[in-house]
Amino acid sequence: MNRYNTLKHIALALTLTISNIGFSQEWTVPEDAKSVVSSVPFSEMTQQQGKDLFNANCKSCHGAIGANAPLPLNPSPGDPASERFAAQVDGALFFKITNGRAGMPSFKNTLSDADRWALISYIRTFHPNYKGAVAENPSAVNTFKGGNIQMKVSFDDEKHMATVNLSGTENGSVVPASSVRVGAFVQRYFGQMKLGEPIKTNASGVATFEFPTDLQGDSIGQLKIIFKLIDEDKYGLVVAEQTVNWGEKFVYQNPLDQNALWGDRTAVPTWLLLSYFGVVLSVFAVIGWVVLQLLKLKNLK
Amino acid sequence: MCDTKENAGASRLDFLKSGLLAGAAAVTGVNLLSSFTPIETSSEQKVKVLTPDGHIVEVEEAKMVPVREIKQELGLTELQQRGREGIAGKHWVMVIDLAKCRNARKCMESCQNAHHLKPEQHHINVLQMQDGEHTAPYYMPKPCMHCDNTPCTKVCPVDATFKRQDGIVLIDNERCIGCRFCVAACPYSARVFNWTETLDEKNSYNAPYNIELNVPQKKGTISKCLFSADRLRENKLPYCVSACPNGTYWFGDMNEDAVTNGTTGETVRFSELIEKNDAYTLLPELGTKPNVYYLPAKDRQFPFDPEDKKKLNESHKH
Repeated sequence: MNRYNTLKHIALALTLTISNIGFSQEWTVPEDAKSVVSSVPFSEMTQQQGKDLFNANCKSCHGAIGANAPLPLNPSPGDPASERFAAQVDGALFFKITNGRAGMPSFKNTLSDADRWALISYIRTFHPNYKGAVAENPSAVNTFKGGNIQMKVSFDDEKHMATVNLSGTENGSVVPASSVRVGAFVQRYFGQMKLGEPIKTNASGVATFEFPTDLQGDSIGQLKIIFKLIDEDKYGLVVAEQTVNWGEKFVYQNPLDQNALWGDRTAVPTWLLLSYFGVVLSVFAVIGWVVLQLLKLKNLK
Repeated sequence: MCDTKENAGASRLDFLKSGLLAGAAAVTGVNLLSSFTPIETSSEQKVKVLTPDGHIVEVEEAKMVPVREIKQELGLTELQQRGREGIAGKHWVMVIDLAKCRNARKCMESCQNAHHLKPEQHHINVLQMQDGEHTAPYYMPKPCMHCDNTPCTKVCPVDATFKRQDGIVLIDNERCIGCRFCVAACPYSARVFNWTETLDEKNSYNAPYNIELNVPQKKGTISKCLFSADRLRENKLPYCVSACPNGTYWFGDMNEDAVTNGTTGETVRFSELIEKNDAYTLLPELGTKPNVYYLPAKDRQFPFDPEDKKKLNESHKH
């Protein structure tokens, strides 16, 4: 009962937070996402594509663009031609279209990256003061230019965290390798399972990973964790492996040990044995009883 | 235990050597103990054996010792016994993403090749589905569900079909008597029967029976999807899963809570995939507890073929 009450309070608090603060507050976009720019320059073609996409996917809530007639929802979808949209950088718009929030759906799976950029390209035609920003080579932006990267990993067994420390050689000296994407994986039977999204190392070449607490380990709770650089083509194969014992201990129960109807003759359920032999025995008992009665009748003479 | 066996082998070898000498003596004209000659020929008896690394070597038959004891009372071969035991600690599971299937039928092709099936026989079959007249049609690959509460093994009168510890339901076509009770019991129509001469019999394919592949196929016996039990033993994904060009299949171990996509090789958490995509199983009301999960055909990547749609509409009229 007590727990139920606590849960109720938490749920209430969450609801209030979401309805009162969460929605009225600014929709925050991570700095990483803000710096993303389109790899293709905006052109008449992308604008045309964007127009079609907008009419098919966005118009139902945002209204005809420029008409300032969005659906009266809370939070308001807003007219994309408005100042509220014009003030945001491309990366922020891209992030919001990709991930969505509350009433705004995520278009991650329904629209391709190019489609989402085409949408932004169309929206930008309504922002007269907008100056385009296009990456020269998007994959090369803000990444470590050196090579010969070394990886060191330290683990915090209590918090289920790991800190990856990257250093590399740039211009002949060993420096922290910043802005390098590192992925964490767990070894599984058919391959390596990705744990969350890759993390970029910070200025001192450090990326911190937090692991879920409910990962299934082996019989003694051991897990093999692997760290890899994502841009293998650029930096080569840099891997660190470590076996940790954070996993949930796996208690194996052989399904064949249970007595079930689908098992073979060695695993017959007790109720089946009892009922079968019960029926057979009672049939014989009845026959015996009848024979006995007949004998009694014979002896009556 | 091993030592005594080796000693026994050594003493037998010594004995055979003396037999050889005696044989040599017989050839050179010294007519001694000519009755030993038959033993000499048996010592020459060599058997060709395929080593795990793919070389054929000859071994004296007398020296061959089975790696482990086979349950003689059941009359099983090594392949049959390990096929019955399965892989300890595993619980195989398949997830089929209906949004990704575009009826390429590569899964069926590779499955039929692997199991030596005729074109009309399917361990896995891609069906064209439409749940109602006005609902969207979709393609649905349907293998055996490898239920945890199998209706089929319950009815087998000869213990030919069975469930093993890793959840796979197999059949032993050397025990199967062809009664087809299991075909009637299976609610998913997962089983096929070899009514006529099989391809293996036509081509006189004579390999030892591999229960995990159900090859060679035999007339008058059942065949069904085996989750490619032979491939799983080698750390490989099933034939159908790795043949799919569209990323429809995920396969893995439920005990590890991980499934791997056969096309992309990506491995994800099974529980998360199931929960996020609102997965379902077929005919859950029967309580068979299937081990094949379906992800609904939402946000599908390929349109349904208009030709197939026409055929479906026709079938709705009848």
